[in-house]
Amino acid sequence: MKKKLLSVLLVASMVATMFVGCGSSKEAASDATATTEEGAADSAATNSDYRIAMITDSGDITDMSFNQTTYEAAKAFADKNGADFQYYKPTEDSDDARIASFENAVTDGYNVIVVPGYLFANMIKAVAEDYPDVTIIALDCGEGDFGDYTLPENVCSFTYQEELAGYMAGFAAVKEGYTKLGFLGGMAVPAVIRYGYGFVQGCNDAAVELGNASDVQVNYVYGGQFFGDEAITAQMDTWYSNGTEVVFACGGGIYTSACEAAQKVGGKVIGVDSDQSGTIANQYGTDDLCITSAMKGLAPTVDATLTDLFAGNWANYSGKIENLGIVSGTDPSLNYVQLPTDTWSMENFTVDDYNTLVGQLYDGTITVDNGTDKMPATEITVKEYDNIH
Amino acid sequence: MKYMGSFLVNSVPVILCAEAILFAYKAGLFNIGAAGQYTVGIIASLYTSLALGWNWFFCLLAAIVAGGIWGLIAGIFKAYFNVNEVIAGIMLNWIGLYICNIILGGEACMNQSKSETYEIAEVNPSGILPGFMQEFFGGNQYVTIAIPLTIVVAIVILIVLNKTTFGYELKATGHNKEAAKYAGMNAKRNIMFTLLISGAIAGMAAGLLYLTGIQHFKIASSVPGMGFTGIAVAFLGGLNPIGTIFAGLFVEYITLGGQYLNTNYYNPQVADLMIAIIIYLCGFVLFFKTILNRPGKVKVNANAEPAKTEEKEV
Amino acid sequence: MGQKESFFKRPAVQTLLASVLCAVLGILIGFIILWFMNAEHASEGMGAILTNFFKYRIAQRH
Repeated sequence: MKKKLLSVLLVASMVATMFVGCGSSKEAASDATATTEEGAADSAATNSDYRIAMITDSGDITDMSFNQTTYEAAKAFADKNGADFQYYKPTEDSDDARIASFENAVTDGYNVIVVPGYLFANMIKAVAEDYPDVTIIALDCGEGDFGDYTLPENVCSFTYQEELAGYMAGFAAVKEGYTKLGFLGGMAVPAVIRYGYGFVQGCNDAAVELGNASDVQVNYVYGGQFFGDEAITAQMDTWYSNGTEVVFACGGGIYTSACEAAQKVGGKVIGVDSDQSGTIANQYGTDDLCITSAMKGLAPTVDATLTDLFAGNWANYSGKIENLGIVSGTDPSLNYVQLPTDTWSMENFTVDDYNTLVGQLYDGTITVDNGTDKMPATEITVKEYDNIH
Repeated sequence: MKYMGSFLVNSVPVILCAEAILFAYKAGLFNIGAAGQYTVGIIASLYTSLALGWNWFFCLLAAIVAGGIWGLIAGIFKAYFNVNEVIAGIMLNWIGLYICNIILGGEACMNQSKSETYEIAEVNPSGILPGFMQEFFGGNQYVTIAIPLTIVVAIVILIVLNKTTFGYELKATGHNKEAAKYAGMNAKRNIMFTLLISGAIAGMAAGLLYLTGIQHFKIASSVPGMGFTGIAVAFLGGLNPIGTIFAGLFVEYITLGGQYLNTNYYNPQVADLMIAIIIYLCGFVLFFKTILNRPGKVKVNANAEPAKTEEKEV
Repeated sequence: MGQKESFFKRPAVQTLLASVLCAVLGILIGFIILWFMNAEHASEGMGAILTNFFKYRIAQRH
C-alpha cells in the first residue's frame, strides 16, 4: 500500500517535471519559429519591427478607466497594423514590481511600452536610460510626478488639461439650469482633482453669469476607489434625496454607484473620460440618465502617437511632456478635452453655446486654474465631504 | 540576481507570518489574528519612521512591540474570559485595519495626491534597514538585513520550542491543556505569552517588509492577506520552523511566477487562481501524512508474531 | 531492508514527502486549469510560470 503511494508520488513528480521540460522546449521551438517569421516579415514591412506592450496600473484591464482605455486603444492599433501586442500586470502595487514587469516585457522582445498612470513616473526614472532602444509612451505622468528629471529621448509623456473638461461640464450643467450639483471623484489623484476643481470653477462662472450664485451648491467627495460599491451608493442616495440633481461621476467604474442612486429618483449623471451616455443608457435602460460627459482623449492620443511612431516621426515626441488640451477654437472635436456633441441632449445650453465657450477657452478669454492644492475660491457654495473610503 | 534579491525581500513577511502562526499552533492556539498583528506592525513601523523620524532599530522595535501587544489582547481574552482566540483574532484584525487607515491616512504619513505613504528613503533615510550583500544581489537597494534576521528568528523559534523548558511547557499546553494544568504549568500565563510572542513575530514581519521601502501602504479595504497565506505556508512547511522557510520561498516563487504567464492566452487572474489552489492544497499536508502512514491491510494483533508482519510489509 | 522501512517511517521524512506531494499536486491541478482554459498553450504557460524566474537575464548597463 505504501509502495503504491510512493510510486504515485514519484509518477506525479515525473509528470510535473515532464510538463515543465515539455513547456520549455515548446517555448524554445515557438521562439525559433517566431524569429524566423519575424525575419521573413522584416524584409516585407518595417511595421513588425515594433512590438507593443502595455503595463497595467494598479487596476486591471477591466477597470473602465485608464487601463481599459489604453488597452483597447493599443490593441486596436496593434490589430490594425499587424503588430504584436501583449499586456503585463505587475504582481503587486510597487515600483519594484512595475520595474520587474517592464524588464519582463523587454526580455520578451517588446520595444514599445505604453504605460498609463502617474505611478509609472518612478519606474521610468529607473529604467528609461538603461534601455535606449525601447520606446516608452507614458500617459498622465506630469512634471510634478517626474520632479527634476529630464526625459531621455526614448520617452514621451502626455498629460491632459482635465480641468478644462471639468469646466465645460460644470458650466454646461449650471447653464442648463441645474442648481444642486455633486462631484464624485474616484481617488484624489492629480487628474481627478483637476477634473473636480475645473468642474467647480465651471459651475461658479456659469452661476455668476446667470446671477444665481447664491442658489447653486456643489457637493464634493472622493470615493477612494475607481469602482462603485454599497457605501458609495448610499452616499449618493443621501445626496439625491436631499436635492442634488446631477452628479459628475469622475472615476472609472464609480459611475455605477452614481447611476444606481440617480435612477431611483430621476436624477442625472455626468460621465467622464469618454462619451458614456450610450453605455449608461444601455446598462440602466434610461435614455437621458447621462446628460453629458467630460471627455479626455486617451484613445486618440495612443492612436496618434503610435501612428507617428510607426511612420517614423518619433522625433516629434521624444523627450517631451505634452500637456494636451484645446488645440482649436473653432472645431471642438479636434480638442483633447471636450464634451460629446454627437449625443447632445441639453436644451438650454446648446451646441452653439458650447462652441462659443470653447472659443473663449481657446483664446484665453476664460482661464481655468489647474492647481491641485486647494479648492478654488468660489461664490457658489461648495460642500466638501470626507473620503468615503 | 536582482530578481533573487527582490524575491527574498518579498518572501520575508510570508515566512515570518508563517512562523508566528506555527509558534502559536504548537501551543494549541490558532492565531488567525496574525493579519491584524501584521497590520498593527505596519502602523507602528510606518508611523515611527515617517511621522516621528526614528532610527530603523527603534522603528522595528516599535513594530515588534505593537504586534506583541495586539497579540496579548487576544491572549488576555482567551486566558481570562475564555473567548475563542479565532474570534478575538478576527475582530482585532478589523479593528487594527481601520485604526491603520485612520492613523496612516493623515497628512504626516500619506502623500495625499498619490494616496500612498511617502517613500521612507526620502523622508527619513535613517529609517531604512541597513543593506546586506547589496552588491551580490546586483545592486538591489531593497536587500537588507531583513533576510538574515528571518533565518535567525526561525532558528531561535526552533531552539525555543525544542530545547527550552518554556518551549516544552508551550508544547505540553498545546497537546493537552488540562494535563498541563494538572502538571502544574500555568496555562493562563502560557497562553498570553504564546500570543504575545506570536504577535510580536507578525509585527516584525510587517516591519521587516515596510522598512525596506519596497512597498508603500495604500488605504486598504480588507485585511492584508499575508496573515492567511502564512497559515497555509506554516502547514506546508510541516509545522517545522526550518521547513516554513522553504515553504515560504516556494509560495513566493509561485506568486512571482504568475507574472510570466502569457496574457494573450490567459487572463492574469488565472495565475492568482492557481496560486490560491496550491495554497489551498497546502492544508492537506497532514492528510497526506496520514495516508502515507497508514499500515494498510495489516491488522495489528497483539499476539501476532513480529516476523509475519514484517514480511507482509515488504 | 529494515533500514529502508525505518527511514520512511520517520515522521520528518513523512512530513517532507507529504509537503512535496502537496506542492506537486497543486502544480498539477494548476496545469489542468490552464489546460482547460487554453489547451494549446497550457504547457508553455506552465513552463513559463515555473522556469522563467531563472531565464531572465536583464541587460545590466549600470
